[in-house]
Amino acid sequence: MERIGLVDPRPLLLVCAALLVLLPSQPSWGQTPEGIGMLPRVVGGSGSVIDEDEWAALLIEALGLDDALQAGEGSVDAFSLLCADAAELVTDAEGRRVPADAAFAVASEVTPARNPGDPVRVVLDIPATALYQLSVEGEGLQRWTADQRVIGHLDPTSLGVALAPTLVPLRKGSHELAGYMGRRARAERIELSAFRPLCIAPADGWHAERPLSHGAAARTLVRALGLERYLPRLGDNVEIEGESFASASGWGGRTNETQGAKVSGDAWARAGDSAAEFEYRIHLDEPGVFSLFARTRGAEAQLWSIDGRYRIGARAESRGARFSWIHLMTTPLGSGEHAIRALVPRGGGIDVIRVTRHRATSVHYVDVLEQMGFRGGAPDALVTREVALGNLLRPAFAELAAEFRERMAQGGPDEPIVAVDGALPPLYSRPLSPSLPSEL
Amino acid sequence: MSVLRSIAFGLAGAATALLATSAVAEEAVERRVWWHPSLQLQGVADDNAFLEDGGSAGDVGFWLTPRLELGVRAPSYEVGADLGVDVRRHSQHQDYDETFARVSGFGEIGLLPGLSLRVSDAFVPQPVRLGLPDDQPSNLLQSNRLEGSLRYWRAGPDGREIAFGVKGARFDSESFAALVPGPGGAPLPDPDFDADFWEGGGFLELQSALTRRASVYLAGTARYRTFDESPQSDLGEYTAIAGLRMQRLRGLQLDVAGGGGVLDFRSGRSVPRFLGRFDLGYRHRSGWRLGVGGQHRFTADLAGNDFIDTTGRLTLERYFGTRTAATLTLFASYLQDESQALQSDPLARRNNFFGGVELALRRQLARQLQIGLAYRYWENAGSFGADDFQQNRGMLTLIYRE
Repeated sequence: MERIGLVDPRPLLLVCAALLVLLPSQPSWGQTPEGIGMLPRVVGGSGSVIDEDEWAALLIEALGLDDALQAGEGSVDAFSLLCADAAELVTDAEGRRVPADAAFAVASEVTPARNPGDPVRVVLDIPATALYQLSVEGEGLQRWTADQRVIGHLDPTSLGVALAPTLVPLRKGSHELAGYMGRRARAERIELSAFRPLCIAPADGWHAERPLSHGAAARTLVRALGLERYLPRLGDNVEIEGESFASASGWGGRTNETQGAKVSGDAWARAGDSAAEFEYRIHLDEPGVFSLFARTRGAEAQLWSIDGRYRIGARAESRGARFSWIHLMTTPLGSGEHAIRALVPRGGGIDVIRVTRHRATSVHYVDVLEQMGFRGGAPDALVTREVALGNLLRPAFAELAAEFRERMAQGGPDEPIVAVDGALPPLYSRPLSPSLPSEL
Repeated sequence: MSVLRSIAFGLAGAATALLATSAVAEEAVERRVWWHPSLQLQGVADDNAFLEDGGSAGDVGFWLTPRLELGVRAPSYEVGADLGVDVRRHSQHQDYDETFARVSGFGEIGLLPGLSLRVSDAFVPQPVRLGLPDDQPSNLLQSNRLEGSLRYWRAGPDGREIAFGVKGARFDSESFAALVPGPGGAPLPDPDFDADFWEGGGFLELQSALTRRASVYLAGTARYRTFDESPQSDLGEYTAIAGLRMQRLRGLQLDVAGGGGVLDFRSGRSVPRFLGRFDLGYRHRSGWRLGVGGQHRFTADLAGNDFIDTTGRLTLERYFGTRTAATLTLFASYLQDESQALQSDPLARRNNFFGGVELALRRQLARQLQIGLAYRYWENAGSFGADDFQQNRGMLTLIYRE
């Protein structure tokens, strides 16, 4: 064999032979044209892109929701668990979003326990796998469990109804709910309804076989971590004075008694000697992602909803006559007329409601994520398994995800801020001298 | 080293990004361009500014690092730059004042499915001497590394992946003291060594999934490096490592690898090298996070002196709520000189043992603003006593990142 220059071809032949042995035998490679682009930089890291159904499964595991899914259950259940709102609504022929067959809610009257001290038990047949929130009508402090897993304590005394302090992931089928009543406590009716304000899904919904893009990954991560309120604001805020309600229940009314507190418009909506519900109307010219804030009075729980569909419990930190701002929810809303309802306890009140529209393209979601130290990419580029796992393994993600169900269940003054871990440099790295070859 | 050339490389990266920014329409800009300005302010107080055995005068320093990270990206290409400057000012020892450039840029383009070309340049300060703190101004010098790689990657449906390619680099640094081969190959100290070199070679990486979250990998590199100032140090480096990687989202993350190879010096000497390393991470439900890592290797310096290098690290972290985190980090490193020339006189070996412990507390004041407070103890010991020292340091850090 004639040698070309000084190159011995035998090592090259050996490498080629090794590749033939080691490479997968199937001719159909997983490579796709979309796979052009950024490649992993970590030895041993996977450069494979992941599909949305695999990403949904990863998110469910990372958020600790996998108890609700059994092995082998399809991606449809995973998708409805992450976003009941999208699974529950379908687009009709005229482009409107209307409810699908399954209504992700079920309610039941509660039969009192036979013996004092025994828990009340209700078996509910859940129509679809989703992240549910329990609401209880009744009175007094009580503790509830679902399939013997603790949901938490709640007290419907002040409003007549209370939302559980944590969300519970449940798969479709029968589930036993048990309530342990405190002294003089009672439960009359319970309802499990999908928690619709939280929709962890790409902009156009989940698609099982579709490769995951950075835009979709960022959107789902930002929603899962409750960071949507950090999307840049678009245009002016829409503010509604509390006293400008469209309707109010019996104990609700307007007052200009400021009691020393600063009040917008010199008047506010107040619940009198009992809890009161106020309804406000707002018209949105365009669909988008909106944040709903309220300046309220009273430290007891309130119950807010948009169109009766996006419902959330909230608790302000204000004491006495002071008003304070609370974030209620950030959620996608369609254009047109919307009804905002607030159920506030006795003596509580509403000064201002603020609705803020956000810029919510994939670029903005990627920006929010990267600002917190997560790794992003071009919104329409595909995400490798390496990057996906890397983001879910970040301490910042773990900390925000640790109390995910509790944090999502209630609005309040706290913002989801996490100590960014990217700021700590390594304590020690190899120097130039002595000049060990790999260090240069 | 041509500082101007290095600056030019860095600025070229930035200019590319900026030109790309201005060349596209507004809508496209929104989709393609990103940037994150940031500013880091540090107040540093230590009790041994000159890192002397038995202590020396302390000092208080103010370090300032403004940065602008920016880039343009699309599914098939990405250009980015990190433009920063690292200003170190000291209240009592102004001769320690330094200003370093931290300018880097990269560009990567997908040429064909799986085939990508990447060029990067980093004009940044680097720590110089073994056993000294990485961030000590007197232990930093400006360096530049320009690198290019052509990489091909493919994946099979059964979880196997392969990547291979070629890579070349040019490294330049300011002068520092080093042992280099003298006449006849005997190591000689060179107080003004420029470790400038060219290198080129190829790499191959294979990976196969064992389970959903575990995989084994094999990586091999072969490269040749030629030094401007020390031709006898020119060497071929051939290394292969095999490893196991496990990434469970809740529970244990593990990366353990080992391998070996040969350093084949132009002087004719071949030195075997071996490497073992592991990284283990675990987060308990209570919020405690543990990280343990280490590496042990047998290698050689440019003069052909053999070393056994062992380094271990332990990190314990706890979040209090989500905004506050406390981190305790310990590390220890032992460098054992195995030079054949010293075999007859073990006492002459330049073994070095050093380590540090740092307790850091950081609090996220707002989404863009973090404050950090840290205490660090660093000690250098070992049979080579000339560089022994102990240092206590306190640091107050404020970071704003948009």
